[in-house]
Amino acid sequence: MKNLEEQLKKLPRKKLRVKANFKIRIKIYILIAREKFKDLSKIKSSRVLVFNKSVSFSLIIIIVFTSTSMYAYASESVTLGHALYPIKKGIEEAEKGISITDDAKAKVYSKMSERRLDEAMELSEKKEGGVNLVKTINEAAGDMEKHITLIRDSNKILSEDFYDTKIKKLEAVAGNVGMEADEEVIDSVAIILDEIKGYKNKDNEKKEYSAEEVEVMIESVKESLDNEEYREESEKLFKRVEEKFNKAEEAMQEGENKKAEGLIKATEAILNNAKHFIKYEERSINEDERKDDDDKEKQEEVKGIKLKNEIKYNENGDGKESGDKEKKDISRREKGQTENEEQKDEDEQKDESKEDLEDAL
Amino acid sequence: MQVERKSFLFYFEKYKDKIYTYFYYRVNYDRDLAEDLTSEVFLKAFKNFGVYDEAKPFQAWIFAISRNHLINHYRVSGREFSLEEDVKAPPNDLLQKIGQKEEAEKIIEVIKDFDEYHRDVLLLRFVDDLSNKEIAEVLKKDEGAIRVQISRALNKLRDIINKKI
Repeated sequence: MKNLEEQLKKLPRKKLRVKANFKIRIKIYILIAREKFKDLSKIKSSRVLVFNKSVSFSLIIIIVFTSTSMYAYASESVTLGHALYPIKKGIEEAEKGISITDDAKAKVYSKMSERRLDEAMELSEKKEGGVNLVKTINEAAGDMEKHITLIRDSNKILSEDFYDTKIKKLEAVAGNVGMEADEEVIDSVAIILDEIKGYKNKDNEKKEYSAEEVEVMIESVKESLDNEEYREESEKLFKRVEEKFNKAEEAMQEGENKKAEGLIKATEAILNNAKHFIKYEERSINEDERKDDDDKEKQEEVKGIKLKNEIKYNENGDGKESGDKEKKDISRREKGQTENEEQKDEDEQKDESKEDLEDAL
Repeated sequence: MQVERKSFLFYFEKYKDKIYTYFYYRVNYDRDLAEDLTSEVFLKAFKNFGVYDEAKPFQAWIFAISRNHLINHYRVSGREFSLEEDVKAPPNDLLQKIGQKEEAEKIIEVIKDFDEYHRDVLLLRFVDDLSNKEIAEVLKKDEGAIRVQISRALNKLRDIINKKI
């Protein structure tokens, strides 16, 4: 054998497969996000106390006895952007101000975060997304963080139901806004979901779980693609993540730590919760299917089997969705559309939604 | 610790295939296991990237981590860090690709009977493309000693192959 060294050098080298390469990079990105977030959390700005206790107490006396204020305070439909919303917030701030013990504060923050989530659902149902929805969700996240911190400081544990209820509400929000929502809305939903899951999973195991989540999501979306297409789609996701990181770095350099923190959290949250958005997509399709079933039930009612349907209705507890269906029928009649035409519109919207998702990846 | 993301990803892109090849040759051409070990090594490297001295070559650093990780892998999985009994020839498709199946098989066949140290220096030098200095850093030996060992291993390989011919 001539020139042994040359022969040795010709022994084959291997290349990492696309899927493995993707998996490692995702894990590295998540570690980077965590690292950066850790650095930023050290520079958290101190929060200003808006109301001191005496001012708050006076304020509560002044406003609490007016019926308008009472309505504003109690109603879920008074959301950000509503004329009475400042009154509602004023009462809530006063309520926070007079809560002295940690236990009382925890209860108030818990109540406030629930209220914000209910408002977020209300806004999303009315399709009033955008800035107001983002602000409401972010406030819910802030109040929730304070509540959980206070609970943990007192060595108590919150039940899984507590977290699951919040996750369900956010899933409803995500389902209402859909994948066509603004990037800020998707980011805010993804981030708060991520935070809740983090609290629920006690953070430590989240990293591995998240990587697997992302991998499963990518697998399911790219199932039908061959290797080359898969590579291209993967690169799109990396590019999107990369862009967010670059923006975050720029923000840090300009001293906009809050913005940088948000961008990093959003990036990580999108990676972690990509599957959830697909789930929402599936869920929304399932809801459409359920609505179709409701349509059939309505037709049967017309045929004179109302009693049978009422029994079924009560058993299934589908009252809300049937109500939605009625609203839908009225809306359709107003638009002068046939059922088929409306279904076609919905299908087109669904297709656009899927295209948006693919673009996002 | 302020991690420079760009530089780490740059290193990952540059060395991912090398590290994968390193493991591939040392875990009996098991692609899945080689990929898992590659992943673990880069995550470990990332976590320790803050203490990496940029004045030194990254290649030697990442190969040192890989070697330690491989030793640890065999220790944890209850095996010795020795491939002597288990080494097999690379898969056919791999060898056919380079059109030198016979020569490669001969080399692999002979190397598999080498002691671990000689086999490792040969692979590090000619397959992993490390310099003598880098091999010395990875194996924590003197550079001169590495040069001697490579020369001995080559002579040994040449003698055996010639005898077989």
